[in-house]
Amino acid sequence: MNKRIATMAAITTIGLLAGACATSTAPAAEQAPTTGPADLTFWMTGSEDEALVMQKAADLYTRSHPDVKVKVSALSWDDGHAKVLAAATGKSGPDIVSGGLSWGIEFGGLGGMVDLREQGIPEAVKAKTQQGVWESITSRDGAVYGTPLDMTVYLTYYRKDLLEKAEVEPPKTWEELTSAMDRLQDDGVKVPYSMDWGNIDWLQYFNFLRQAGGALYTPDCKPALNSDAGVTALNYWADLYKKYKAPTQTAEVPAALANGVAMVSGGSWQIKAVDTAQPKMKDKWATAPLPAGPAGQGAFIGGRIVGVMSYSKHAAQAADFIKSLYTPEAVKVITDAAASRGVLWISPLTDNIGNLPATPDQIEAIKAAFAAGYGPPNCAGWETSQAEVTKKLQEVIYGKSEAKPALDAAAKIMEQNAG
Amino acid sequence: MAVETRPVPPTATPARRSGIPGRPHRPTSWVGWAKAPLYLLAITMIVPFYWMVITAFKPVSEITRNPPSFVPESPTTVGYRDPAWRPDADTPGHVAGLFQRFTEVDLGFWRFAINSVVIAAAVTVLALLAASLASYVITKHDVKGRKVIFLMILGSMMIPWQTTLIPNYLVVRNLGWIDSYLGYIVPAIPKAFVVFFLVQYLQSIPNDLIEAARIDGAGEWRIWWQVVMPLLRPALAAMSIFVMLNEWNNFLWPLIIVESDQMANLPVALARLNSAFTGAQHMGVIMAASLLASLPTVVFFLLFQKHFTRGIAMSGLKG
Amino acid sequence: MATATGGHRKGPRTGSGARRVRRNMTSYVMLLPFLTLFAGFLIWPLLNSLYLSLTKFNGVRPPEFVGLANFERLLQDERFMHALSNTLVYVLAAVVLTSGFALVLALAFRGQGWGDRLMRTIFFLPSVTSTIALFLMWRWIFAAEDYGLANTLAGWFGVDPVAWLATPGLTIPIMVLMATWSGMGYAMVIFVAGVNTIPEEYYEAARIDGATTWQQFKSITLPLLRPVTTYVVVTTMIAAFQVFEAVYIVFRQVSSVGGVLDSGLMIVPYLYDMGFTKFQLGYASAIAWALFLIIFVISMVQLRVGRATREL
Repeated sequence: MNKRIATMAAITTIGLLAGACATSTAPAAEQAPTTGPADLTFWMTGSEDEALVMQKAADLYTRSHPDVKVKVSALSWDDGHAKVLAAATGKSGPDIVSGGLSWGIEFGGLGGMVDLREQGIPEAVKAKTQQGVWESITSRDGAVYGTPLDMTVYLTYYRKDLLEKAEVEPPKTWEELTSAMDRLQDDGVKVPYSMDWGNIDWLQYFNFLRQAGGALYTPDCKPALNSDAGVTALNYWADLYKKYKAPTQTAEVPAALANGVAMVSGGSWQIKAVDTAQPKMKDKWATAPLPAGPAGQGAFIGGRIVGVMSYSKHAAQAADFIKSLYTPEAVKVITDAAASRGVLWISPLTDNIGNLPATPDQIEAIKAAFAAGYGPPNCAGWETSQAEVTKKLQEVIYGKSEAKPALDAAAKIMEQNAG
Repeated sequence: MAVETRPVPPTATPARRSGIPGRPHRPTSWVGWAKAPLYLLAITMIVPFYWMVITAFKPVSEITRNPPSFVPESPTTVGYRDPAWRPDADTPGHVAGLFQRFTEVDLGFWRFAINSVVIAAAVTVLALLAASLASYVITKHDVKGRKVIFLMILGSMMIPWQTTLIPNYLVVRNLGWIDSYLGYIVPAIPKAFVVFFLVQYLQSIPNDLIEAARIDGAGEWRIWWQVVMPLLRPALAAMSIFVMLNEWNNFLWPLIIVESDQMANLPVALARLNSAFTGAQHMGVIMAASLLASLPTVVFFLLFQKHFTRGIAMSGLKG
Repeated sequence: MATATGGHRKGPRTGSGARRVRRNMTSYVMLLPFLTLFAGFLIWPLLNSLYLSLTKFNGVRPPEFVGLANFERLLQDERFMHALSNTLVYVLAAVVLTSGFALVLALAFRGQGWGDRLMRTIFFLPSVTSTIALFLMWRWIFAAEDYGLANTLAGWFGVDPVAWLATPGLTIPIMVLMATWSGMGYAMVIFVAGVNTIPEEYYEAARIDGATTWQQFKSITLPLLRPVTTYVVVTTMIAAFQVFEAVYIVFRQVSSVGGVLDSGLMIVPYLYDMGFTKFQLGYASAIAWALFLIIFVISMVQLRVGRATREL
C-alpha cells in the first residue's frame, strides 16, 4: 500500500513541479548599455522577399554601426499576429517587430512594446508622414508603440482594351462605376468588377464607407458604422456582389485581369505582380484611383508599423536602428531592393512618392489614394472585433440580412469589445 | 451505397475462385459488375494527385493559362529551381523556385525536411522505448499500483490532445523550449495508445521465456532488452509506423511552438509558403513543395506496405 | 481501490523477499520515464486546463478565478454554437460516408490478387501523403480562377465558374468530401482485416440453407463485423471532431479562422482562434474542455450502444 501511495505521490510531485513553471512569470528585461555592441533580431511580417529587402537596410546600418548586427526574418501574415502576441505575453522573442498598423496599439497596451516617444522617433517622423495613418498608429493616450514602416494603398486596376471596346472611361464616381459595369456587361464582359485585397472583408467595406462620408468609430471611439452613410455604403458594396456578380472567392489582380475581369480593386503591391504572373497582359492594363462616393474620395491605407519589444535588452540600439530607416539613404536602398524583387515599396514619408519606380499614371493614382486615405481605427477593441464585424457584413452580401440590422449588430459587437 | 444492397439470384455460382488458393472465398459473381463504379471511384482518387504532380512540373505561363493543359506541354523543373529567375532583377513570367526561396534559412527548404526527419525519428524511438518499458512492467511485474496506472493510461486515451494544448504551451514556454527540438520531442513521448497496444500484445505472450531468463539470473533490464523487445518486434513495427506518420504530419503543435523559419517542420513550412505567396503564379512552387513533402512517406509505404496494413489491422482488431 | 490484489494471478513469484523488493525498485525505475512525461504533459495539463477554464487569463497577468463564467459564456456565444453545430453536421456526414464507403471497398477489394491489392494501395494513398500537402492540393483544385480544376470540370458541363471556397453552402460538403476521400482507405484496411477473419464455413452453411448474398451480408458479415465497425466509427468520429488543418489551410482568410460567414468554423479552429490569436486562454480552455466532454459522452454512448446491440 505504501508503495502505491509513494508512486502516486511521486507522479503528482513531478506533475506539479512541471506545472509550477507554467504560472511563474518571466523576469523583467535587464537593460544593457544604450550604446555598444548588440545582436538584434527583427521579425518582419510579410513575404521572404520583403524580409530580404529589409535585411539590406539592416546591413546599411551595420556599415555605420559595426558593433550592431540586425538579423531580419520573415513572419507570414497568417500567423504573424499570433506569434508576436505570444512573444509579447511570453516576454521572449525578437527585439524589433513589424506588423499591421494596429499592432502597436494592441501589443503596446498589453505592455509588450516600448513607447517610442521615449526614444524621440515620433518627433522626427510625424510631420513627414500621411496624417490619417499617423492618427491610426497613435494610442488614445498619445503613446506611439510603432512608427509606420511602409504603406499600401488601394488602386483600381483595369483592362484598357475591354474598357475601350465598351467605350467607357475609367470610372471616377459611384454613378460612373455603375454605368460602366452595365455597359461592360452589355458588351459581353461576364465579370465587370472584382475585388482582391480585403474581398468580402471589412477592408473593402471601409473604402465605400469613407466614400459615403461614414466612419467605423466617432472621434471619441463610439461605434458609428450603423449611420445612414454606413447603410448606403453597405448596400452599394453588397450590390457589386449581388447584382454585378463580383466574385466572392478572391482571385488576385493578375489572375483576375487575365481572366477577363474589366476592373479590379486591389493593393498597390500588385503593380509589379501583374507582369510577373501574366507577361501576356503587358500594356493591356492601367491603374486609377478608386471611384469617389457621395462624400468624395476615400480609401483605406494599409501598411506596417515597426517597433521595439519591451523585453528587449537593447531597446536603445533597436530604436536607433528604426530611426535610421527614415533617412533618405535607407529609403532609397529599400525602395530599390524591393523593386528588383518585384515589390513596390511605398515609404511612409510622403515626399518620396514622386520617386517611386512606377509609371506616371500609377504614381498619380497612388498620390490620389494617399491624399484621401485613412488608416485603421485606433479604438480599443477594434482588433478583436474585425472578424466578427466582417461576418455581419458578409450576411448582407449573402442575402441573409438587411444592411441596417447587420450594421447595428456589428456596432454592438464593437461596443462590447471596447469595454 | 445501393451497390451492396442489390439482391442476387441464388443461382449464382458459389465458388468462383480467384487469387491465392486456400483462402476463404465468398460468392463473387454479383460483385464483378457491382465493382464497376468503384473503379471509377479509384480514378477520382488518382485525379487530384495527378493534378498536383503536373502542376509541379509546369512553367508559370502554363499554370496561369485558361483552359489548363492536362498533359504538361513544356514539362520543366522551374518549380524547384528556375535558372531564368534573378533575385535582383525584374523577370516577368518567372518566380523563384522552391530551392531559391527560404534563403535566410540554412540549407533552405532541405532544412525543414531535416527537421521533420530528426523529430519523427527521435519521437518514434523514444516513445517506443518508454512505452515498451512501461508495458513490460505493467504486464509482467508484480508491482503495486500497476492497475491504477494502466487504468489512468487507458482513460487518458479518451482525451482529445487539444485539451492539453494551452497548458502544454505554457509549460514549454516557461521551460524555454519554444522554437527548439526539445519542445517538439519531449511532450510527444508519452503515447497512451502505444502503451495500451503493447500491453495487449504482451498479455497474449506467455511468461515462460521471461521466467527462464530470470532463472538464468538475467536482470530486469537485460530481460527487457534481450527477451521482451524481440518478442514485441511486430507490435513495435506497427506502432512505429503510426507514431512516425503522426509526427510527419504534425501541424497544430509546431504551428504554436515554432517561431523562426529555422525550426519549422515540413507541414509548417508548407503552410508558410502558402500564406506568403498567394497568387496562382506560385502554385507550381507550392505543388512542387507538397510533392517533395509527400514523397518520403509514400515511398516508405510502397516499400513496407505489408507492415503498414498489418499494423493497422492489428490495432483495429484488438482495439 | 482494491487494486493492490490485481497481481495475484500471473505475477512472477520467484526468489526471496529481498529480490522482490529490488525488482520492485527496478520496476518503478522502468516505469519512470513514461510516467514522468505522462504526468507532466498529459495529466497535469489536463487538470491545469480545467483550472484555467475557470479563470480569466491573458498570459500576462496571473489567472483570475471567475467560476463557471466561461462556460456560461460558451452557452451564449453565437460563434461557439455555430462552431458546434457545424462540427456535428460535419462529423455525422464524414463518419457515415467514410465508414460506408470503407465497408463497400473492403468487401469489393478484400482479396489477395494483384488487382485487389492495387486498388487497396490506391485508396490508401491519401493516408500516407502529407496532410498539409493534400489540403494545399485541394485549395488549388478549388481555386477561384477559371483554370482551377474544379472550375474547368464545371465548364465542361456548361456551368459558370463557381466560388467553391466562398459559398457558405458548399463549405461543409467540400470538407466532408475531403475527409471521406482521404479517410476511407484507412478504414477500408481495417475492414478488410475484419472481413477476412470471418470463417468461410458460416457462409457455406448459409448457402446450403438457401440464403441470398444480401441475407448472408445482413446476418453473417454485419453482425460479426460489429466490433470492427464500432472501432472504425469511434476512431473516425474522434478524428473528425478534431478537424483543424482543413479549415486552417483551405478556408482560412487572413482576417479570421472559419471561412465565409463562419460556414467552416469548427471547434478546434475556434479554440485556436480564441487561444492563440486572441489570447483569451481561460475561455479557450473552456472550449477545450467542452470538446473533451462532447467526445467523451459520444464515445461512451457509442460503446454502450455497441455493447447493448451485441447482447441483444
